Amino acid sequence: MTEQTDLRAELEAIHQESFAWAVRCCRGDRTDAEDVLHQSYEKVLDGRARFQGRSAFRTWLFGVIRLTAREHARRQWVSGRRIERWWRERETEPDAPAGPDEELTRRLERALAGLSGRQREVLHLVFYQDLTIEAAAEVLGMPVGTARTHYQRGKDRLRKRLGEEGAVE
Amino acid sequence: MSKSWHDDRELGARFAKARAVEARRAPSFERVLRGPPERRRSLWAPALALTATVVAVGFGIRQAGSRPASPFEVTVGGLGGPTDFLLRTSEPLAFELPDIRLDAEGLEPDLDGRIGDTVGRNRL
Repeated sequence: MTEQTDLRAELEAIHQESFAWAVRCCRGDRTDAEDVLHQSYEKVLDGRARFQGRSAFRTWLFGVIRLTAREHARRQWVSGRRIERWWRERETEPDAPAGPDEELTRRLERALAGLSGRQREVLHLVFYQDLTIEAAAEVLGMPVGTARTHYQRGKDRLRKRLGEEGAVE
Repeated sequence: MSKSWHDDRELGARFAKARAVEARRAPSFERVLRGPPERRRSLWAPALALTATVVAVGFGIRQAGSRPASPFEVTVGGLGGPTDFLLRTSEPLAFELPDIRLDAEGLEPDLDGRIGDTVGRNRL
């Protein structure tokens, strides 16, 4: 019971970061991200995913979220639900009013959209989540050298794309 | 969150703003833990499916007492009682189910007048 309470507290402490990572793993789909995060929390709390202490809790949890997002995406494609929703969202996507920060964030998202999936993931983990490249590599299950390459190339490409948008002074 | 590992302050500042925006929009921990409404509602779907299956099976058992009325039907179970199932196909069973022994003579001595001449052979 205490262990369960501790786990819950740990999950809650980094909930916002976890949600942001889930959104990234779900390619910006917040509904999917919420579902994926819910499934990840369930896995952790009912012991299907067990923290062994071989890395930081957050690094481990992000790995769980990433795997869960993959399973989720596969199930959605198989059932055809994702395709259906993709079309629905294209039809109804609202143009939300944006403040200056929101606008900057949207520019950043647009620029990130031009990067490869791996580059986006590495940059998110390092810049957004403040993970080391080594920890990012562990979350993504890739060698550190590969993560470093994705980091460098992704960063260069992101700066270029932000420059093209006139977002970099 | 106290220490940054990246080597680009400007990009770091942009990501930090994005993080602040995202933090305002993130659903609460409690809500995520409960599960999205879509998922909670979806519990009804399996319950309904289970109910429909039970009803269908019940209906099938009720049908079991029926005798096959055409070569497109066959009873499964072989006891001729209420646990037999009546199957229907779009083609005469002689062509659809090769395992069925069409010539029942000598093989199914218990066939009786309860089942029609043609379809009686289609008994599994």
